[in-house]
Amino acid sequence: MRDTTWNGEQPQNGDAPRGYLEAKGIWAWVYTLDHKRIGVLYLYTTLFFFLVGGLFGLLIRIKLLFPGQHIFTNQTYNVLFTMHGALMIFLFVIPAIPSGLGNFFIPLHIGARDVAFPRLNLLSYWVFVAGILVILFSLVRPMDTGWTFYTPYSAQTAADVTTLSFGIFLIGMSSILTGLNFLVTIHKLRAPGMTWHRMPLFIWSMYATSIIQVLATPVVGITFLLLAMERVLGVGFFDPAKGGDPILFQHFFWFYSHPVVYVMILPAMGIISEVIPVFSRKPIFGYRAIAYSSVAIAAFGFFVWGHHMFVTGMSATAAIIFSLLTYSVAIPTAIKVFNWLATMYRGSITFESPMLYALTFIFLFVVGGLTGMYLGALGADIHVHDTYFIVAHFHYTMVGGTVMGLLAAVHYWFPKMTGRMLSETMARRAWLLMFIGFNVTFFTQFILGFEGMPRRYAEYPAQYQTLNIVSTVGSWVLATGVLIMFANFVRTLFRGAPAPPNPWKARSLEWQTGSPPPTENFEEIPTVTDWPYGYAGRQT
Amino acid sequence: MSGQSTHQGPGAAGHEAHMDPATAREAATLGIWTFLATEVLLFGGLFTAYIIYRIKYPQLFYEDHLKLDRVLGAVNTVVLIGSSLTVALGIAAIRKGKVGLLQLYLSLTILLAGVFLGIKYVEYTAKFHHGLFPDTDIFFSLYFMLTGLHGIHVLAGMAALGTVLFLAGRGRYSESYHTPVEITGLYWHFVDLVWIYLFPLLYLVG
Amino acid sequence: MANAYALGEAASRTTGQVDTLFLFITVVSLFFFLLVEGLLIYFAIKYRRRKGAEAAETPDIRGNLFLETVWTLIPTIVVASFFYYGYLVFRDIRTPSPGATDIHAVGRQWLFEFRYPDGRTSINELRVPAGSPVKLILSSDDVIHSFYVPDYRLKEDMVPGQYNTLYLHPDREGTYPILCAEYCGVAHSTMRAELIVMEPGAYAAWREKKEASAGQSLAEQGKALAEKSGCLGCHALEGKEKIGPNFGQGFGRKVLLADGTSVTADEEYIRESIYDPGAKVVKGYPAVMPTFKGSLSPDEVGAIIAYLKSLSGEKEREPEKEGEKAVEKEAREGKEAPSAHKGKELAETLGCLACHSIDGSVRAGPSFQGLFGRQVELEGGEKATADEAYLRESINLPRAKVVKGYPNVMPEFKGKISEEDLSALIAYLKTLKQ
Repeated sequence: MRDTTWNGEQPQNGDAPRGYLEAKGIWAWVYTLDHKRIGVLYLYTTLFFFLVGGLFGLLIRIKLLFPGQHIFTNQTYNVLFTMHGALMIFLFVIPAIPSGLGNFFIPLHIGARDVAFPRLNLLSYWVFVAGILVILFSLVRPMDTGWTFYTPYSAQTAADVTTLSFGIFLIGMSSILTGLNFLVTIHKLRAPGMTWHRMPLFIWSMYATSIIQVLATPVVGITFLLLAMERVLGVGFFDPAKGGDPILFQHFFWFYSHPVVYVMILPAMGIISEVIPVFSRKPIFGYRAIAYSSVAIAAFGFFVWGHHMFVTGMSATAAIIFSLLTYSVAIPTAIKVFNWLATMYRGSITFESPMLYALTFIFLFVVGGLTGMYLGALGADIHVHDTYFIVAHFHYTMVGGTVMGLLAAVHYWFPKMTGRMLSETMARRAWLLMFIGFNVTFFTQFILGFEGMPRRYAEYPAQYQTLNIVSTVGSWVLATGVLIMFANFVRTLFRGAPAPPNPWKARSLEWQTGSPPPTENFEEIPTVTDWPYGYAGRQT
Repeated sequence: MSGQSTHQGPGAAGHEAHMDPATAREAATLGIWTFLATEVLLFGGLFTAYIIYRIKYPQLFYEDHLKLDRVLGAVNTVVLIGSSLTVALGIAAIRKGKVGLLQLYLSLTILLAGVFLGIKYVEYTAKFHHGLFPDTDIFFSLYFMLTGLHGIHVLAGMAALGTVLFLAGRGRYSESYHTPVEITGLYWHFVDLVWIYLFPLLYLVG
Repeated sequence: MANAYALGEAASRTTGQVDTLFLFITVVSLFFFLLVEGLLIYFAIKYRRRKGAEAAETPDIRGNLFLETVWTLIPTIVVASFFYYGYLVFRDIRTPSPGATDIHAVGRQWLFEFRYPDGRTSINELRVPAGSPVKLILSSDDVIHSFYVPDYRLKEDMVPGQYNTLYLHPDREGTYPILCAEYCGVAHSTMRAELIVMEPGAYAAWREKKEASAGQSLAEQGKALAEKSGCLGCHALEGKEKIGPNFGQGFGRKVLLADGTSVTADEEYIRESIYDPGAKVVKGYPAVMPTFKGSLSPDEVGAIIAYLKSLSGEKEREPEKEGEKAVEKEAREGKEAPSAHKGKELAETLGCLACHSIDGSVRAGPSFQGLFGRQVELEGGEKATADEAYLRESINLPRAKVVKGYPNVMPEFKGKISEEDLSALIAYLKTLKQ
């Protein structure tokens, strides 16, 4: 099908080829224009904050072992859940897949040598780092607003919301520039013969993601600027005392923050669409349905933000419209799930770690999606809004969905990125612990929420204690799994077996070059003659 | 955000390694249009706030807008439109390869932008003098936020134009290669366009 | 605490409706859950590559338009049914109940205050008779709170500068927790109240007792305010109209606005029209009314609304006045210095006690017990004596001098309480000196 297929031979010399990792020294990273290195920088940064955010999550769970004031003061608890939410959302879930893996694999997937604007790409990374530093600086006075920063509380608290707002503005700027770069890259730099309908589905999902990044992020930028100006200059858009409206902040905030959950989930869906056919050895089922549903989710996602605000006193008409629009997002999502299942039908399935995580994604995301059905229904949402039901739903979509997709991708592409094979045994053990721990931690929270335990409660009525203890124990199992997984990553980086260019026998372009790929990606830009899912036939 | 246009310039020049000049030009053009879309949304938040509060407080908007100086606002409108013209003339010049003329028009544009900011400074001073601040009421919150954000964009545009002017002096642009001039020009037209909306919305209410 | 899950019987009409909706979604979702997860596991087992077996041959299936159509249409129908059922329940929750008693509920960091139509108020305790619907008018004095009764499956935000409404249908007697569901600061999780649904006879008896110490009814306060603020200069009560619309028969009416739209003259409309008269002018009247923003507090607007309602013939239970009870009240206050007694009430109603104990135990802030006159170490190492000047500053601008070891979270009270109230509070703290 392609001229440049790997012939199956291992490299002759004993050392693994170093490819793009050849250049040594810190400056080779700081000034790099190589999209792969920039992607790796993003991955390291975001995974670091995944661990930090996870640590805050564990501390939250420990505090909630007891219903009263134990272990931490209530104020400390409020800081903990704010940090957990803000770090996980802004520094991990949003950037990890798009900026990390997207940077590394978009050019490789479409047969390009780099993204369209490599300098802009490097600038995006350092703006991201600058944003992180500003945020860390603002934490001298611990943040206690929750990651949603609702006014008027955020305009009044003694915490340094002003500085933090500038940090988030910078991170948003980085996100916009990355999205812009990817949009142009996908439009202009596809290899000869790679028509829109020959693009891997990961690229379709990244394309939809980039549109959201570019169109939604500026709104959160201006929102946080206005919040800062409210604190500094006394601007009154969100201040009822000055004739402003605190609910307007929520409209602005969710106009960004709802579409952005699709920035989190769409790339993960793209990854699943890559992994399932490779390990089922069957062409993807319903290519166009999956591709277009990504774009549909991105488009519909812009019109559903109001479902976060059903109990703010929103007019009945607005609530009904937002409820109806919210359900419209469910349909393209369901279409994707059924297409993945149909891809597995009559396949020849193997269960290496990427596939395990991909199947876990489907399993958990279905739970997240179905519990979203309660939240879209007006009558039901009024009850469970702002309770643990929301917390559970959110974690099933974001951890069960995005993080599982990310882990599927990291296990799938680890050989490509590092040139070394992960230990399958360790990967499986980590997976099992995470799967069990995750469900124990978060399924209990659906019940807590339905029984009426509000979120962000440092102290809670004693009747909820049993389930909280179960949830906390689950979080320890989950954390153990995560630690084993990271141990596997670190061990493999130093001692892993060298990876062949195409260990999974996949057909997309990134596997048709070395592991790790050379700096220029391909010796010769390949000419594409077919889609990347031609897996049918006799498997050997 | 504004640094984007300046970074595209040198970036595009260094891309020949993986993009042929035609593709690089198309990419830069698509890039700047996408970037302008993000700018529209950035201002979009403020315009939304404007619409909401104007509907809510029509009387306040009417009374407050009388406190703005229409004459200075109108002069500034003319100044900015003039600067859009000079930038367009500059692009026309470099398309014919006339680097000297490009430098002249770019200098004029930057000068007009400076005049605009100078007049803005006079207006701001007068407002402060009369005790009108961003926290006075919703109208002045909007006035200062909208014109302030626009002013920052004017500054960024001046920096971008200055960079292009400097690089033009180094002989970077020619009849065949002048993408950075064009995209900086597009950015400048956008800054101008925002003001074309701001002027009637703030100075000519009712 | 009563818990409807344990009781198995609905505490309120809405409880049953929401639970049935949940059940419906659960049953349908469970079917799809089992279908999808079942297929996932079944395919994973059935089509796994068997070890050592001859290499499998996979078919080149790339799609199927019929299947795509089916699994687009079926989810569409399913979510449409969820939407419609959710809408039905929502419509019922939002539909006004005729004859409902108005109770104002105000959120404040960190307590709920309830104001009954006859002028009584209560803190963190909402008493209602079983069987009669209640219309809660929700607002907030500071940040956003949310009024949540899990047993009723109901929740609505309390937003500063805005009135939201929530109808309660207390069907069963009992005590139900009221929780704050919108994060509002350090004591958010302890901002809880109780909904006490009483047998109507017991409620009437309680009301009698309570009324005794109540002052003017809310409507009466509103009447006084309307006179004082000059409203009646332009708004006649009945008969010949003055400059603005008449007050009598005005409340709850549909009014046609100058821009051709129409609006119901409900609480939110009246509030908006007092604060921002130009926004929605009634057709046929000049837009000349001045704003009362800044001159009438939200509480006072609430009182005026109650007054307007009483004029338009909405049922308003006027309390019977007894002069003799005032004597009893005076006698009670005589025991303490009058201002310290007032300070104690203020400490309760302002929410101080949510964070400051009076028994020496440590909460979010230092205990009031023995605070006055004590040496305190401040954040930053300085020392200060908790004298009158220090306490005054700490109530007005708490962030200036924070006691070491306590979070810097207390809201500012500058401009929110009068000089007199401040002195009363400090007088109260003095009595806790030991």
